Amino acid sequence: MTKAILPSEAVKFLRRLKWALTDLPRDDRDDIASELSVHIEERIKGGAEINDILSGFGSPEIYARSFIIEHEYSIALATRRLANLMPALATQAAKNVNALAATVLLGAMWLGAFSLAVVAIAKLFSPAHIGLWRSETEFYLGFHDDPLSASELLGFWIFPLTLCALLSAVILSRWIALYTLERK
Amino acid sequence: MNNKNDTQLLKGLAELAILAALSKRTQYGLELLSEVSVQAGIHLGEGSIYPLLHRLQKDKLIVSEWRLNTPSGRPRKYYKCTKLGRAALSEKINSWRSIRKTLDEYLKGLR
Repeated sequence: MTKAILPSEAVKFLRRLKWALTDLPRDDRDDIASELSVHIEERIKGGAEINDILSGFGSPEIYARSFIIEHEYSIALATRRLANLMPALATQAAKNVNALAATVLLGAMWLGAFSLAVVAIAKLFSPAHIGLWRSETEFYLGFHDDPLSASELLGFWIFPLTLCALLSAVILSRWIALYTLERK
Repeated sequence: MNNKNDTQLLKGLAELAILAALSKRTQYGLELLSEVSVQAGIHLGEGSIYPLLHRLQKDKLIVSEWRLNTPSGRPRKYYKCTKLGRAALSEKINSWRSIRKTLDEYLKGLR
């Protein structure tokens, strides 16, 4: 069977598409490109102009995103690893209100955990001035320039508390991401 | 309703139309694109069909195979509905009918 000769615009499109699909397994990438190659060839045989055909696909990089998003989603559910689940959830947030709500919730949770971690690290360098401060007019976590004028509530409990917050964030993130993605 | 909303509405029905078409017979991409456009009135963009088919296949609702002996002489990738796909189609049809009935009642008397 002879290989089709496509116009140079189509060859260029397919080359850019394959490059944009680098994250996909090679077989999937080749399969997608082959199928589109046949599609383009048959449309040309049917009388369509190559520029009209290619404009229907749009930019190859943007077109590739739809395949990559599904691939990320499949990998996330297959591996169940947080490093894969979080990007897949963030991608779904753009088109799914449950995923958006989950992303916002996890974002707030991680912001809280990281804030606590930053304060805990700062406490190693300035233990007298860093902590959870309470006075008649103030209640906050951070630096206090006059430690004698307020009560520090946590002391060195900030370290195990930070560890608990980070572990909770990891465990809850994984659970919430899996729950949301499996119900997409 | 503006064009963007029309597009979103039609895309939401595309899976239903594709599964319905593939439940009747095995088809390849370009053929399917034509059928859902002409028969079902759902006009998908040139390349929109393939990401949808890719997703349906990942969800195991359809399967595909490359065939070498085709009328065009070129290999084509054909798709068909699985048992799971037919069950999903049945659910989607019931949902669609329920939504349409409720919406039609609601829109009665409005222009």
